[in-house]
This record gives sequence, C-alpha cells and structure tokens, in this order.
Amino acid sequence: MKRALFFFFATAVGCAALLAARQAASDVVDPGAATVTVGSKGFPESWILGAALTALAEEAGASKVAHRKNLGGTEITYQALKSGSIDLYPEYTGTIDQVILKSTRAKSHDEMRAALAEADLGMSDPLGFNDGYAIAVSREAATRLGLRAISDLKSHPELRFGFTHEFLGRADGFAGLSRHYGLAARETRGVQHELAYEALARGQLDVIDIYTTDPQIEKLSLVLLRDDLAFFPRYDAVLLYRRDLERRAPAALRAMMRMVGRVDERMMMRANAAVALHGLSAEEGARALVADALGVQSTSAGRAPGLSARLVRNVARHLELVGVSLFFAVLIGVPLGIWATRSKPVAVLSLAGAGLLQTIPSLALLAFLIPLLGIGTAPALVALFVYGLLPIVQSTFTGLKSIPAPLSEAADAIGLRAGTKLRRVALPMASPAIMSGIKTSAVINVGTATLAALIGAEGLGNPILQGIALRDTGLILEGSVPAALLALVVQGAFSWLDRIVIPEGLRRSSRAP
Amino acid sequence: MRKRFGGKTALAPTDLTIEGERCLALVGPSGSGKSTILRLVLGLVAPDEGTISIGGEHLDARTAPNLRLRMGYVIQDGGLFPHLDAEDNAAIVARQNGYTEERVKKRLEALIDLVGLSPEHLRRYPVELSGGERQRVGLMRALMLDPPILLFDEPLAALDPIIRLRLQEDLRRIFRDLKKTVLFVTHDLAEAAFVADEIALLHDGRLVQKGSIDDLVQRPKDAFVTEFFQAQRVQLPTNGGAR
Repeated sequence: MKRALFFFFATAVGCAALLAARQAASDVVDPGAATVTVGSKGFPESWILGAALTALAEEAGASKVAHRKNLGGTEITYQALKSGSIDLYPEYTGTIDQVILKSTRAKSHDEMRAALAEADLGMSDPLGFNDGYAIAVSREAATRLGLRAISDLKSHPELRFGFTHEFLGRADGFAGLSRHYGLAARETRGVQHELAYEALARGQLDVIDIYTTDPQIEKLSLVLLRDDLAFFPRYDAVLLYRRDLERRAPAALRAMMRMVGRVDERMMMRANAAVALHGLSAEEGARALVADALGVQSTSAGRAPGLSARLVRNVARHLELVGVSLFFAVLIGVPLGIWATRSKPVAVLSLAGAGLLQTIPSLALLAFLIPLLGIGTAPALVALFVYGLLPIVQSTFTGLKSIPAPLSEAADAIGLRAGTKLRRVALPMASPAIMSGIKTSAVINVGTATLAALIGAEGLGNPILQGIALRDTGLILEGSVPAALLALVVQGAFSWLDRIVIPEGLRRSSRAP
Repeated sequence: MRKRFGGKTALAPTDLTIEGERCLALVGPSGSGKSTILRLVLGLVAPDEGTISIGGEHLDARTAPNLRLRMGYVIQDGGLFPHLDAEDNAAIVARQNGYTEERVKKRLEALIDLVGLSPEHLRRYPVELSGGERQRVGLMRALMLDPPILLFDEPLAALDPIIRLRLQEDLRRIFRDLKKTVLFVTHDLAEAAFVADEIALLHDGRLVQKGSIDDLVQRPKDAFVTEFFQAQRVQLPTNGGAR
C-alpha cells in the first residue's frame, strides 16, 4: 500500500509538471505582440483556406499565428469564434444567414453584417466563389431515369437518399428542400459527407447532398440537379472575424483580406482536388491556391511534418489527454465511491449522476463545453474526465460494498479506527475491483480521446478525422493503429500496475483452489 | 464487573454480569440472542434500553473505541484479513496504536509459543493456513494488546473434531493461565461445559438459566433446559468439565 501511495503521488507530481511545462511553453511565445488564431471547419476546403490565411498573416509579420484546423461543424466553430478561442475563419453566407443568424427569410450581406456587429463580429466581402449545396446523382442514374432537375425526384420515390447530418438538421437543408419541392416522405439516411460519395459510387445510395466546389464531382462525373424552383441560397465564401482584430492585428487582417474577390470556383475546386484526391497536405494546397489567386509565391505556408514526427506528437498528445483526465477521474472518483458507501443519498446521486453523464453523446458534450471552456485541450480533458468517472466511482463503491460483513465488523470490533480500517483493510481488499474500474476508464478514454480532435485538441483523432474527410485509408490507419496499440499497451501496463497495487495475499487467494 | 442489557427485538430485557477472571459461556440455539450480546458488549450496536459497563466504565459511542482495545475478539474461522499475512493480521491494531516494531516483535514471539504456532506461520497468508492455524492466528490478534477481556463468537464451529478438541484444551489453559475475563459464545453445550466456569443458556432472546453445568443439569429451571441438554446428548458431567 505504501508503494501504491508512492506511485499515486509520483503520478500526481508528473502530471502537474507536465501541465506546468505546457503552460510555460505556450506562454513563452506570447510576449504581448499581435497573435492571430485562424480556425477552420471539418472539411478540406476550409483547411486549405485556413492554411492560406495563416500563411498570409504570418507574412504580414504577426508574431504568432496559429491554425486550429478541422474544428468540426458550424456550431462548434462559431462558438469557438464567439468565445475568442479563434479570431477568424472562412464561412459561407448561406450558413451565416440560416445557421448562425437563424433568419426566416434571406438577408442581404449588409443586413447580415449589421446583425453580426451586435456580437462584435465582422464579415468580409465574398472571396469570389460560391460553395453552395447541390443535389447530386450518379451519371448512370441521371441518364437511365432522365433526371435533370430537383423536381424530377418527385416521380421517383424509390431513390435512396443519403444526406449529411448537418444538411438533415438545417432549415435550408433537407426539411426545407422537401417542403419546397413537395418531395414525398421516404427513407433518408444520415451519412458523413465523404462517405456519401463512396456510397454513391458503390451504388448504395442514389441521391446525396454535395458542395459545388467538391472535387469528387468531376472525378466521379456526378450530375448536379438543377435547382429549378430556386430553393438553395447562395453560399459565398467570406471571412468571419472578431472585430477586435482590426485593432489588435490590423496588418495581419489586411493581409488576409487580400483573398477577397480573388478566388473563383475553378481555383477552389483545383485546390480541393490537390488535397482531397491527390494527397497533398492542406498547407501545400494553400500555397497553390495563394499562388493561383494572388499571383504570388507564398513563402511561409508551413511544411507538413513527416510521418514519424506526426506519430510521436500525436501519441504524446493522446497519452497526455488520457493520462491527465484519468488522473483527475481517480482523484475524484475513488473518494466519491468511498463517500457513496457511507451515505445513501450520495450513493444514489453519484452513481446515477455519473451514469447520466456517461450517456451524453460525446459530440454533444464537447459542443456543450465549448461556450464554457473554448476549444482545444481544456474541454477535451473535461469530457474525458466525465466519461472516466463512472467506472471508477462504481468499482470503488461495489469493491468496498463486497467486503464480507463479518470481516468489516471484525475490523471495527478489534479496535481499528475508521481511517486505519479504510487504509489498511477496506481499500486494499477492494483494490482488485478499483483497479479494474480504473483500467476500464483508461481503455475507454484511449478510444474516446480520438474524438477530442473534433474540437482542436489534437491527438490520434486528428489523422483519423482527416483521413475520413480525405477518404485516405493511410491517414485513418495512422491514427487508428496507434490508438489500438495504445489500448493494448494500457491493458498491459495495468497488469503490471496490479502487481504493485493489489496486495500479494489477495493475488495468492485468487489463485488458491 | 457488571453488565446490564436492555434490547427489544433480538434480546429481551436481560441482566447479565460476568465476574472478573472468569469464563462465561453463552449457549443457545441460533437466534437466541447470544451473538447480539457480544455485539452489544463491543459497542457495534447500541442497546435500545439499558446500559452496559465494562470494568466500571460506561459503554457508549464515545467510549467504545477505547474500551474495544481492552477486549480481544475472535470470530469463526479467525476473521483474518485475506490481504495481510499472519504477522500483519496479528499486529495491525498494535501498529495502529503506536507499538514500536521491536515491541511488536517481542510480543509476537511470546504469543507464538502461547497459541502453539511456529515462526514460519507468521509469513503465511490466511489462505495458506489450515482452519485451526487461522483460528490460532486470530487468537494471537486478540491477545496482542494483552487485554483483560476476551470475547469469542463461535470460534471453533468450522473446525473438524480432533483439531477442535486440541484448541478447546489450549483455550482453557490460556484462559486460566492468563487470568482473562472471557465471554464465550457457542451453540455446543459440551464445549461450553469444558472451557467455561459458568453457562448462561439463552432462548428466544431471553436468559433462561445461568449457573454451573451441574446446576443446569441437576436443577433445570424449565423444560427447555432439559430439552436442550437432551438434544445435544450431553452426558451428566460431574464437575464442570470433561464429557
């Protein structure tokens, strides 16, 4: 038990040092000069624009420019902007109107600007291309059924629809579309954007929503159905930014504004193809786009790091997320489990409460935490802590409760004080159960931590999410193989830890016939 | 020494006193209230009515922790903690109460001989000891602080007859040599007659009769006493001892 205590405190000190070091590292590069954080949403076009804007801001001499790449959907990215976690990101007028301002009728650009100004946000003029929603079908189906416009879908209720979750949820998405065109109710699946292309190509879906600058349109020679009843609003790309940037980093903002009016659909589709189809990094795609749009060679669009450097970094970040969250889950969970054995209300509250938290879908929990904690490591740690709590509280509670009543009573009767009983009898006897609860938490969190990449916390989820977005199996494996190995390593580490923490007498007892 | 009990469900109002340095056996069928008396004496449960005093000191929630240190307690199968070896089991309370390692060691050496174990037993875990050995370690734990009072709750119930016989002999010797005041719960009348000076026979939470084995056999207070003796096939012993 002394060794277990030592181990516990060693871990505590280690974690604290790690956190302090990271804090120091992030403070050092921040001497008060202009810092700009660019964000981008969860698809390649947004990464490319984000990387291009980052490069332009760097060239304009901003001292520290960061790119929080791949933040996920509109809700998360917009919350990140509002909370100041990012300063600027590329957005689309249709999305601003419908999702952010929740307009009931289409607004003009000036009306949108006025509404955004209330939240102290600015909106640039259009960059020059429209990346709107469109409805796509395969060329084969279009020819066979004579599909040319969205209205033509009305007479084919047998067609299978597969739409992105965002499209299904938006007012200007499927709900509005089916009302506008009077499409009969039919089976509609929610599918991740890039996987929808895959499903369409394999003939598992017939009709999908796409963005008009998606490079797959050409590659799969899809047919875009004409919006004959003019339902879809325009999705002109603009820059959405915090107005304090005008004062904090005027030069960087000016430099980024150079993109306004310079990027047309063709250029964007080309850059998208380079990244999504030809395996270039977003930074390389951005360099090509800047050269194309501004006619200049950008010098500083960063090089993507090599595979081994990425691996080391991702694994380290991943371990950090799991380790720190687990540490606090143990720190809170074990005492909570102990307390629960002594008080019925605490038992009901903590077990039901932790169970309830467990059922919140991770994406929903992350989205909920962003307004409170911004994006990045902090909300990811809180979410992982929350998910790690239940197995630990529960195993501590049941471990302590399953100590045979005569032994528990004997401990009191022979004159052990409550503290001695807990330290020397109850916790050691419950230690196998507690350790297995902690192990469960650790293994779950190795898996769940991949989702932290959705809110910019890095880790092994990054290559997985990018790989899904790019349909790049290699990238998906780059994240998922180390994550799976890590889960195995964690398992192994625990059988070693068990030997340190669980008293030998109990291990001999379990081996005895 | 005087104890008075008042309980409601498990134990009807009962007055019971044990003389110092004597062994009183509490005998009766299951549910007769004998274990309840032990738990009351240890302060593990509080009486609904009445008071308990130990060596003249009133027992309540506040005084119980200290009074427990003046009582050694042994339960069925020893009640040892499975994660501690025999030595740590025996010494756990002594170490909590600030005994130096040297003092613990001396005390263990003395007790090993007394309870009839050898030093190599000390390094074994409960699962590696026989039932009789576990019970002897339990006895060491009870004697560790040299308490004036010993409490036994069916200590030998799970042992086979030969080992049981040896332990009964050892216990009787220890009680008399060390001049302990003993409360010994058993459902076995022969065992009670052998180790104890006096027997208190309980039935349905009531004290039926208290006295020497001869008193109980020759002057049974009611039909239950006779019936209980017959049920256990106890031959009439002549002087408080052998079968």
